[in-house]
Amino acid sequence: MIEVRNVSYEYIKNSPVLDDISMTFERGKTYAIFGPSGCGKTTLLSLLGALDAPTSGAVLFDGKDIAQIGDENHRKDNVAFIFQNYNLIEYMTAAENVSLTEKIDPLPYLLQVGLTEDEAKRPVLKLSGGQQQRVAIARALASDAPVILADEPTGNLDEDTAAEITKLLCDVAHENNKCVIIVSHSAAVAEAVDQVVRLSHGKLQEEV
Amino acid sequence: MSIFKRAWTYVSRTRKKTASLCAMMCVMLLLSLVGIMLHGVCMDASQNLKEVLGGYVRLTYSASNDREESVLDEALAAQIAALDGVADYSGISTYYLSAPDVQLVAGSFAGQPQGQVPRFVGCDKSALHENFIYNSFEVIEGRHITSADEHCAVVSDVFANLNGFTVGDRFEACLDSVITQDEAMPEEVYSLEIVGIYTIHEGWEITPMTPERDIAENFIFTDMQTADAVLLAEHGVEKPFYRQGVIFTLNDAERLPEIARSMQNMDGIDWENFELVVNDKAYRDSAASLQMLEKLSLLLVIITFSLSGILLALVLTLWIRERRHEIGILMSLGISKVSIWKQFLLETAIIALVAMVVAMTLSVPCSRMLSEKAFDVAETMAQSQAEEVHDPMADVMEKLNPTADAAVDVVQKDDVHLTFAACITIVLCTAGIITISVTLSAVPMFRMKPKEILSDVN
Repeated sequence: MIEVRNVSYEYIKNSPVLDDISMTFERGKTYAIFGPSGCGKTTLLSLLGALDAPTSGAVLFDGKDIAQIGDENHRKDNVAFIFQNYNLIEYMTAAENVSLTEKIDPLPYLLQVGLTEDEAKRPVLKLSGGQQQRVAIARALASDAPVILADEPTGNLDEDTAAEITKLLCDVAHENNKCVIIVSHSAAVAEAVDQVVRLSHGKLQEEV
Repeated sequence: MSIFKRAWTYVSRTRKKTASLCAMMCVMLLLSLVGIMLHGVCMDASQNLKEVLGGYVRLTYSASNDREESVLDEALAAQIAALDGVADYSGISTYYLSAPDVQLVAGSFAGQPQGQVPRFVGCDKSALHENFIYNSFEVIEGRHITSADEHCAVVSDVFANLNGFTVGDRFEACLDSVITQDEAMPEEVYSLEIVGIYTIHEGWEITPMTPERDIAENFIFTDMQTADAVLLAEHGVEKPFYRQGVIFTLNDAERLPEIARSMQNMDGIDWENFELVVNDKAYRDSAASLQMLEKLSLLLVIITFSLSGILLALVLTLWIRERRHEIGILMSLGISKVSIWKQFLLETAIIALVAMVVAMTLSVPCSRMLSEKAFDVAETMAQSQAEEVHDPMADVMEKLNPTADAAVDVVQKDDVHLTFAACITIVLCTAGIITISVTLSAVPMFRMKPKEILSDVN
């Protein structure tokens, strides 16, 4: 499905954040990437989503190097992001943000993440942090992309909603045969996902 | 979401930003349009000036010419008129007849026989007489004298009113002893049909010492056949010639010196007996101020265009840089760079379109106002130049020789209007500036990885 092969990434020369890591993420499964702050979790997610390019090694989607697929094509067709800081277009409504890249009715997705019809019509800046996070999740859910990359998706949500959203992401992965990769510090997320991966000192370590 | 919807959503939701950009564009476009229109008016005015004050050359007799050997006749005039650049010609022969049965505007001879003697100006084409060329006199009823006319006259409206004449009426004038000073000479009567009536826009001062024949209202323009007949009867001149010379009008006043040189280089003209009076003073006086206006307006256009271009590029650069977070988000969602560039271009185009409509609507009244002021300045300059060369002792005809006043009057009648070419120029330039600005400001961001942009912003 999506694979990192001998990937290294350096912000400063000779001090790699990711050091020759390799791992394959499968369809229909959920993954949680854990690790201390600054260990490169978000960087790994960025490499998987072609927001950045590895210093060495390759990211492959269905066996094909994403450099060959093209970054833009990969981001458009293969991955959907849920950012830690939402990254919503401020002058658009919640519904418009969700339907930004897809020709779909955004309302069911917004209702699915617990927003009301009225909230769906509001400009995103008039929504709370938690509500904005839900809009970001709804945008990823609405995408056809087979991979969902979520960076701390429940960080701004209360415990119950966080659990609900995590379950939703897991259900989407299982029911729609998607690969969901979540960067998190939450133990609840670790419990909910199929596979936990620990990132430490630039190396990946799968936990059983 | 389509590119257009994204662009429209931005334009309609960020009203303050959109309105300020629109207002800025509007001011720039307005200044550019006013500059273009002013320049256009100056160009038109210059062209009109060339046509209206086309300049002329008057071939006259030198002081030493006793008109016995070398005379200006039709053959010589036709030979000169064949030169390249000469538009037309008309000979002039001034003569005097008594008109005892008509009433003239009273002058210094009022009540005496000489007080019934108007000035008759025989010409091939009265339209080519200096007074009519410069619009000092203007035919308001009927027509001008042409070379085919015989016993026809064009009189002033004052003269016509004094005598109750209209076009088609006839009056009589005679060659009598008042004119010939010879009691034995038989009286010759000429019946003249009024074919046209002129009004005087610019006359000259009349004093109690001005004789009737020198009062502009008493000028009677007749055909050359009548003039020749009178000269034959009065002086026994069998071979007609032009007594006051010939006026050659030109197509382009700017070529006047060149054409005058060609005339002087012609074979078969004895220049000891003739003089060439080059008169493009009205054109030169008016053209100088107009050319200055033309240069100023061109400078205004260049400065406005350059400043607008630079300012617009800077503002658009800032405007787009402010939106780098949005660019990062759109790129991370897989929206192509071309699509984002098109969106920005479309947004700016929508704003520019509104600004353009407003600017075009306001540009005509603004340009009219400015052009009026500008031409006022031009007129003042032209008048002061004209006054500098005015000779109060000159002959009546020379006094009347119109200068820049008439020229500027003609120019002021021009209408300020927005031409299709100006619109196209503005549209193309704005489109060019917008495209370049949007591209230049967006490209550096497009070169960055989405993560760099988003990390930068966050």
